[in-house]
Amino acid sequence: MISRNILPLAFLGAGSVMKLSRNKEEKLPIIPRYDLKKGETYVIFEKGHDIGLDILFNVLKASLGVDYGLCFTRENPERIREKYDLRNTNFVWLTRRRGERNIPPDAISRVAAVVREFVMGGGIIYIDGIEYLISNNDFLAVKNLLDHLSDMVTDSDAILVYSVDPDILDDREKALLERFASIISI
Amino acid sequence: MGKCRCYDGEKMRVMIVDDSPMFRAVMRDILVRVGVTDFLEAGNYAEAVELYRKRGADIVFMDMVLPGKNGVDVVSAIKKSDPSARIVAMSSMVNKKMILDAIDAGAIDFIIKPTNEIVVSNIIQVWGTV
Repeated sequence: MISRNILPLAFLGAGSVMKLSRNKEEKLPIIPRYDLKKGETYVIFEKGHDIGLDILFNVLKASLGVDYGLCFTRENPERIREKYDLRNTNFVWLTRRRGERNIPPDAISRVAAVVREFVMGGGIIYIDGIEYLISNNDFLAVKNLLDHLSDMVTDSDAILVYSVDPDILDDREKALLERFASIISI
Repeated sequence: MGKCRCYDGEKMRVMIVDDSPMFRAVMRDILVRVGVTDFLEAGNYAEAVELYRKRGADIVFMDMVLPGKNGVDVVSAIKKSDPSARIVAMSSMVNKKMILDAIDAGAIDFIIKPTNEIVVSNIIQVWGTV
């Protein structure tokens, strides 16, 4: 059993990697649909990221008091930015392609570094592509990363949400993810 | 807000307006899973306005981007025939002007396609009871 309090050294040593925008997303007169609490971590068991992105969109566009977004994604970020009109949200592309705002899937310490920089000002962090990270590392490394991010969020005004495909997890792995995150479901 | 008019006994009636039979089938499936079994379907705006006038619905999920007619005009037409109509605008892209125009015309909310059980369930809970 790995203690939640023991942080992998790789996460602790990672420095800041990219400049983050602190511009607010513009609100729309739509109904806030998700009652997410600051300082909390939420997991969605879904194939793909439709629910996760809807949460990111709805929280940023409808909820008072959550103005800043950070999204790690497997999909081309510009497509998501355009579809959801998230002009001021920070997107990080999880890909092996080189780019200023790209992080390769085996460099998960850089994910922690970006989140550390972001959480100080509050906002919502959404991660899709957890299965991609697991397939390029291993489950425990990614679970430790998520625990570490959850710890960072607990001490802040930020919210952490991530989607993971339940079909790639066995029961024990699923239970480990559920242990320190609330499940978003009907 | 939140009180069902229940056109058919205790059942909530939901109208789906979309030109894609596949999307309507997906929506039906989602609605059944959240407990709604009384549906009306329309593939175009004229059909939607006519059907709503004849039979009514507790909630209308309406695609705002269909060929032939501006979705905002249809929201206005339905609201004109029933000022208390609850219309949820839908689109596969977020277009700020379209959303603001739809809300101004009387839509109660906006959702992005493809949608999912969590979103639909939440709308059903907020705007009516099944």
